[in-house]
Amino acid sequence: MTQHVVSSKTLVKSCLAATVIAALVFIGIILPAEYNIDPTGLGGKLGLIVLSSTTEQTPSRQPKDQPSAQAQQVIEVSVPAGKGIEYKFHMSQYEKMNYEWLTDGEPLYFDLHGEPKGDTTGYFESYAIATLKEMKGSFTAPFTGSHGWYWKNTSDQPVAIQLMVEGQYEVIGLKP
Amino acid sequence: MKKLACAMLLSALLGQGSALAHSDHGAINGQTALKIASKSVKQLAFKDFGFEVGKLDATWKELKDSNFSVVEVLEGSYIVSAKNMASGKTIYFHIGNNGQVLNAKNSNEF
Repeated sequence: MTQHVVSSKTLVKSCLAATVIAALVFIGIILPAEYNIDPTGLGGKLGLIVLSSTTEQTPSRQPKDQPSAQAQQVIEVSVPAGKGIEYKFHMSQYEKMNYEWLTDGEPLYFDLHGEPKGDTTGYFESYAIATLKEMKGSFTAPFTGSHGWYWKNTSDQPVAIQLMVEGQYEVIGLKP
Repeated sequence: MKKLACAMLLSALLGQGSALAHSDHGAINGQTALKIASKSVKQLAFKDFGFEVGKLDATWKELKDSNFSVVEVLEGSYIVSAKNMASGKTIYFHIGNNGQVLNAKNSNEF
């Protein structure tokens, strides 16, 4: 049985070919997807730019009619014992909000949800439901309307909430 | 043998791409450390997290970005100071490279 031996020439050729392919992948795919650098235009055509935009949002790619992101806002509210409150923001479709909230003690049941503008049927869409002491995240409004939290305090003591938000929104505030 | 060499080269190529694409995920920089300290001051003025500084008074909520500085870059962490001009007090945050606040003290002795 004969054993195939790859000649040095073939190995050098393979290494060169691999290096060229790696360079092409790096320039054509990794740079646009990871760093938003797209010298070939391939990243744009393949939709890879979107991947980098989650961490590096450049103003040039922001639609003209979209309001600029608000600086971080700190909101403090209190949920009375045995009651629930709703705190909302007006957001247009595809506007994004980063948020972080925590309570001063007990965990609270919450429903992060949105209600479409002008809807009279009572429809709402929940983005997250849980019972927690704190939460951090972000969401993109799936439709224009009011978006925010319903917190319910089932304990016999009032619970304070500190909510930090930044992004594209207008504060509506506490809803009755 | 040729097929094996091709497979190895392809694996190395794919591995290289993955390593390049995710080389710096998870590690914060000094700017982010300042942002985390700024957020933490607001949270500490709302609630006691069990650190030495305890619950801060409401004047700490008014701190501006210019009141925060990175005073030391350690291996795997940052020390950030927060100066309250109203009270003249300074507190220090020890922030890990992953963004976690490891400690908050009245002195830079971690």
